[in-house]
Amino acid sequence: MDVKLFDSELKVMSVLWRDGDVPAKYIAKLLTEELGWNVNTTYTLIKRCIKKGAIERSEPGFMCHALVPKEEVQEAETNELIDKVYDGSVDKLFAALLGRKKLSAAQIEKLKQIVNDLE
Amino acid sequence: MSLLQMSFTGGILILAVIVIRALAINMLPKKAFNALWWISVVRLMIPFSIPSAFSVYSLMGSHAPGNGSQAIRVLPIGASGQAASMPDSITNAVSTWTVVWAAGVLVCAVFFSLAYWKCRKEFQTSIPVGNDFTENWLSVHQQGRRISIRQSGRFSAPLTYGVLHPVILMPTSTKWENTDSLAYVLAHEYVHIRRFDSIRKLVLIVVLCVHWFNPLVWVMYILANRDIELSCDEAVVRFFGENTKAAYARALISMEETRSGLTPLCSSFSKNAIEERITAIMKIKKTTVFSLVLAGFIVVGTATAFATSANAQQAESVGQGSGTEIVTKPDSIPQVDDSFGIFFKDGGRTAGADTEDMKTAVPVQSDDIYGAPVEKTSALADDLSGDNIIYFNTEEERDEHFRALEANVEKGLDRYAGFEEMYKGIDTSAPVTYIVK
Repeated sequence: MDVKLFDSELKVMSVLWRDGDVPAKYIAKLLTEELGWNVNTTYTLIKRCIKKGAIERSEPGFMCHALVPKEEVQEAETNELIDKVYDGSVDKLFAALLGRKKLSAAQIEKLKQIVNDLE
Repeated sequence: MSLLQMSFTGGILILAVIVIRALAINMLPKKAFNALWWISVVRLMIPFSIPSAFSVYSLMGSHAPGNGSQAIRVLPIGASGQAASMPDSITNAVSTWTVVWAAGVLVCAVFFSLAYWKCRKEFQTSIPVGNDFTENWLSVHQQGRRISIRQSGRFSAPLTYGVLHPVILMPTSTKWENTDSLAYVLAHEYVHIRRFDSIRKLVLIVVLCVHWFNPLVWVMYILANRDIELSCDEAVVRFFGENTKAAYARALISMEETRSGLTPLCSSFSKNAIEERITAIMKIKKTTVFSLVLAGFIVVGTATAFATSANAQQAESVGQGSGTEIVTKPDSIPQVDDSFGIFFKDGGRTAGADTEDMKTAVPVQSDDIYGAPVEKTSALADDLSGDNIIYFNTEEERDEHFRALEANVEKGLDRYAGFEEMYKGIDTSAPVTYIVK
């Protein structure tokens, strides 16, 4: 089973792949130094990895264990303006207001045509 | 001015800007539209009116925004005795609508704060970018505030966040080796940072929250956000030279292409926005003296015509609100008309005008709507006794008294300072009736 993880979540996983099972505190400290993340940001990402089945936590000390090896992970990337940040209607309303949504191939072709015509 | 009046006049101004924008979007420098939106924002947010003989409201010979019904007086305007003079039903309606309005503001504010907070949380999971190109770019583009470049897989389009420490956030799909295209994208974000566009967008959101009930303000929010982008594009093209506009437009399109993959889904709205944007970029022309003069003329003209209200001459026939049982007596008190004329310029609806009207008013009587002089001993006067009445022997005495009260207010004193004896037994928080014997 392949797990899809975002680049930020991969940063968390790479600590586990490199250093083996470590407490969440350790990951947070390391990534604060490396990426400038605050502790809560790292904890949020660890929780997301747990939800996706990539990390297993155990007590005591919130020990983190990687459930998937590096080879089985695919890097996820959104093609939405903002990935799953909003839920349902809030998402749609905001996206509509900002006027940022995906375009179809035909629409992109039309845009290129506009540039060619006006050039 | 009440909130509804502000929203109404602001709405008319927005309509005017929408029309101008539709007609001249590719003819004027984009800053002109931004200026027009800022004038609209100011009109929507300042609670007083600016009188002008060239206002559309003057030209129409009316004072439409102030001429409405009692519903116009939704917000308390600070005149003591104002509420007391209104019938109960109106006072109740006022509070109901105020509550509905405040609830709407709260809902909007919570929605936008929540959306921003969620975004912010996601921004923080971004990863710093460090390659030769970005380091080089940053060393050239450093300014007072430290800019940094980060990337995230959770956003598909470049964006900027943060005011004090601006961060340019690039999608993970960014092709760092494509330096030509990157230069355009980063320049675009750099212009946003330099112009504090995040603060402009925040101001637009605040206005939207306050005027949530006005659909035209929502239209303004969408179009003004687009015009911030268009103006930014224009600055980038001017910086790199007009002959780069096709390359810049193509860089934007290829970014959209990376983003969209192969989804057939799209809202027509955003399609219009991006088409408008690409067309606008391709039609950027050299700024000429003519276009600048035209832009200046349109901005000043629109502001004068739509952001102002009718001036005193056009607004002299101010009707009293239907809820009050008193009428003005304009013929007999010309001095008051002159000295307080300024209050009538917004249609006579400000606090000053209302309280002044009440004080210069006399009770309505069946045979003379302006109120014939009332004898203190008459039956009618007896009926009114004890109802906050002050008597004068002549109109001159009364007017002199009004001037003295007004002078007190101007000096920052209590309105009735020096007249304690005269107002003994008078409840000044309720409307006071002045009668010439």
